[in-house]
Order: sequence, then C-alpha cells, then structure tokens
Amino acid sequence: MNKHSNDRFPTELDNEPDAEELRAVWSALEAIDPADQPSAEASDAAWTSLRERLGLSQSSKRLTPVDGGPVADGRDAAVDFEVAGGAERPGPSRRAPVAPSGSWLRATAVFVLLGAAVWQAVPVSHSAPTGERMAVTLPDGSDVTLNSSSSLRYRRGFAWIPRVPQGRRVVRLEGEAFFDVTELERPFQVSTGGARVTVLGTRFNVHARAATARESGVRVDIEEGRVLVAVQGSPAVAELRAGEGVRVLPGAETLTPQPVAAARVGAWRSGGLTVTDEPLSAVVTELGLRFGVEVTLADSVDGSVRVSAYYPLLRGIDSVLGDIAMQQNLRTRRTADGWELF
Amino acid sequence: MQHTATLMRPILRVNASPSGGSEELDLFRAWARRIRGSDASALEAIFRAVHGPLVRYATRFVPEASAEDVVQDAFVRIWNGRERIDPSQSLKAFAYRTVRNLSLNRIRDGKTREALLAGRYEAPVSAAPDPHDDLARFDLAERLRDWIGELPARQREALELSRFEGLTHEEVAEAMGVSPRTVNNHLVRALRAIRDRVHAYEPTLLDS
Repeated sequence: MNKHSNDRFPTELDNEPDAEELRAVWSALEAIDPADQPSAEASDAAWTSLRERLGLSQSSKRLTPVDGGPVADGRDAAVDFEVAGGAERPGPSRRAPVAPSGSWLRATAVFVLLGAAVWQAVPVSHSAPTGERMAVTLPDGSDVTLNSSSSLRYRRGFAWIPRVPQGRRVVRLEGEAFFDVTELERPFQVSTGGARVTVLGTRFNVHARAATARESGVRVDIEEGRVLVAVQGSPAVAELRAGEGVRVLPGAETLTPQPVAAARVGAWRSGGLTVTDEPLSAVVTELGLRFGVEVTLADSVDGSVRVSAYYPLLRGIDSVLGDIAMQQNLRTRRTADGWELF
Repeated sequence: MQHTATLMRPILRVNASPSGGSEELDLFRAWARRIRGSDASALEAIFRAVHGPLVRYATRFVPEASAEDVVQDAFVRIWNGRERIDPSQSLKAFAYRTVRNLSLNRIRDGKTREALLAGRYEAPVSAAPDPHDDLARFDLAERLRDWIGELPARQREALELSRFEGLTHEEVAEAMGVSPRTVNNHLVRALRAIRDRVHAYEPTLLDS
C-alpha cells in the first residue's frame, strides 16, 4: 500500500452528476496503487548526498530544532522554539520598508517584542499529586487528564493569538497524561525527556515518567486520530494511527509501532491499568507511583522480564501485585514503606 | 509484508489520512517556515517525506537514471531559494512543480516544450504485461494499468498525482501549472474514460 495514496474521493468531484460512479472507479484504482519507491535506504543515501552538496552539517535532527535534555535539567527545547516563533511572527512588518523610523522607535519595537516574549515565557504548570488524577483544560480548549504523580507545563504563549494558524502549541510532560486535542489546524506538540509527539489527530496517551525512562522509555498510544512521534536526539520518526502504540527508548534509532487495543488506551483515567510488554521493574515503579507506596524487587528477581496486563479497574495494589507474583512465580511481602516481590 | 517492513524503520507517513490533507498541510507549512528560516532539519524532514514519490514522478518524464538527479536539483533550488518561500503556498506542490520543470528542461533537446508537455508523460505505471501471459489478461489490475496508460498525458498526470500521490486539486494545479478547474476536468474525464472501459470489460464490476 502506497503511503502517499489518497483514498479520499476529492470533494470537488461530488458535484458531478455521475459522482457515485466516479467514486467507484476511484476506489477500484486501489488495486494498482504503486509501491513506494525508492526504498528508505535509497532515501537515506539521497539525503546524505544532498546534505553534502548543500554543505549542511550532519547533526541536523528532524522535528527537534533544539535538543531538549532530560526534564530535570530545566532547559526546554520546545519552549526555545516557541519563543523564537513568537518573536518571529511580527517579522514581515519589521522587514517591510518601514516609514521614517527613528532609532528610538525601533528600540521601542524591540522592547515591546522582548516584553511579549518574556510574558509568553512565564510558565504555567499543573501537577497531579500521588494517588490522584487531575483534569486540566488548556487555554485552547484541549482537555488533558493527568495521572498520579505527573505534571504538565506550558508557556502563556500557548494561547497567544488564538486564531493565528501558525501559533504553535507546546506542552511539556513529566509523567503520564491522556490528551484530547482541539483546533487541529494549529500544531500541538507534547515534549518529554525522550520523545516529541506532534499531534495530527485527537485522542492519545503519553507515558513519560523520569523514574522509568531508562528502562522502558516513553510510551505513546493512540485511541483516535494520528500523531507523529520523534525521538529526541535521533532522526527516528514514526506516524501512529488509532490503535497503534510505540515505545521510544532513549536515543532510539528506529521506532516500531505496534498494535494496541484502542479501548484500553488510557485505562488509568477510570482507575484501570494497561501494561504493554513493559519490564517488570518499570511496572512495579508505575504501581508505586499510582498508589503512593514503594514497591521493590528483591535482588534475586529479574526486573527485565516483560509483563503485559490490562485491568479495567484496579482494586488495590495488593491484588495486582498478587496477580503479577502468581504469573511470574514470585511471592509478595510487606515492607516498611510498601511491598516487595521476591 | 511491505507494510510491516516499512513500520520497522524510522518512517514518516504524511498523507495517509483518509479524512483529508489539512493536517498534512500544517506539517508542510511548518516545514516551509522553518526552511525559510534556514533550518536544515526541516529540509531533511520534507526531503524524506516526499523523496520517493518525487523520484517516481520524475521517472514519468526522464529515464530512471536521471530521476534521482532531478529530485536532488529540485531540493537544491528549494534550499537556495528558501528566503522566497511563501509558507501560505503548498511547498509540496512547489516541489512537484520544480521536479516537473527540471525534468522537462532536461529532455528539452530539440523538441519544443509544448510537444513535450503533450506527449512526454508516458512512462509505464508498471512493466508492460507479457502478452503471452493469459492470466494477466484477466487481471483487473493489469487492465487498469493499461487503461490509465491509454489516457491523454495530462489527464493521466492529474489522475496519478491526485489518486496515488495524495495531492489536493490545488496542489495538482500548482504542480502542473494549470487552474484547479482544469485539474477537475482532467480528473472527471480520466475517471469517466476508465469507467467506460470497466463497463465494457465487466459490467458488474463497479456495482457495490
């Protein structure tokens, strides 16, 4: 199936008297959809050759204009980009052959621009404490549900000039959140420590906890619509559709989308749990963050064992841990701060 | 499976939405703005997104060996002219138009441009079917390829850009240097011609 193919019958043709027949022909042409060519390897080689011809540096990263480090270092690539974009917007008028502009006038203009950029840059943040979920409505009307021990930050510039189409919306996520995005004509991006998610569709879940980033990375699952996922610091990009998910390991060179059950995406919102092929160590960390207790693995337990599980509703941490222990042939015991699997 | 193989790689599918191209337009607009701001990563993004389809398009005009060169030249032009890029225009369509013009320039020797435009768009959609292969004669896909190949060059070009490359009416118009109205006429005629051939071949085929 050619990925550029257009299954959608052009609306312009709907006015034709024989539109239904034309539509049938349009569909029938599916049969000869040409294979995409050349191969991705050929595209890589072609890009290398073009890059050298143009004298561009090799370090360019797709969809990652500036490399944003881990959440903890406080620098935020997405926001750098946002502020630059905001300041750029008045650009055309600045470059236009302006009338008699004294230098003081220019200085004032620069000052006003700076002021706007600074005001935009003041961050707004929402945090869901451990053991609680939180619903946030963003200034553009998008709904976000934050899972336990998760936080979301964005700049005020997020909602600036609401109907300007190039207004880029960027939010920074630490933890897990489910997004229901409105106003798709404006770009919406979720930036995390290891991945950047560009929204082309509407409803999706992002799991990006610093505590489990190294072992299980960032996980993105789509309930509805489409998103682009880019890896921080790597050229890897994948487009996911409804019913697909992907795990983004730090610096991953490739992304491998996998099918997921759309109905199970974001099960945590109603108190459930969806675990898709996660290392056991990451699963116990997640449970600990959900229930606000410390769950540890005994030294004898292999934390890299893969676990998959789905609970529409978690009754309590003891019962989940009991299930996992039974499945993995382990036992559970209480500790001073929580639980241990051994 | 082709599909699985594609998913195993870093991929960038940009126009697979059955619901239409407006999100894609946004993506291309964002890239266009960044390219205008000399962001090479945006050039790479758009290059990877359209390289394959553009090479395929170029092979409609020039020999396969030259198609890659034409596409590279087109991107050199886009990059060198990046300050003049208008993000409100479709950069995708602009890329197709540039590839088209460069292809036509390349094969101009001797012939007039108009003659080229009239007759040049003719490379086969696939290898010609083996006339001795009786099975192929009954294969609808083979038939459809033949019938598309029999369309007048511009009808065929409009149809392929629209149906297989996912360009909107406006983008096809921009790429081919004609009005959207003309594109519409080309498409309607092309689809009707194929419909008539299908009806003659197997009257019940298009009934749903």
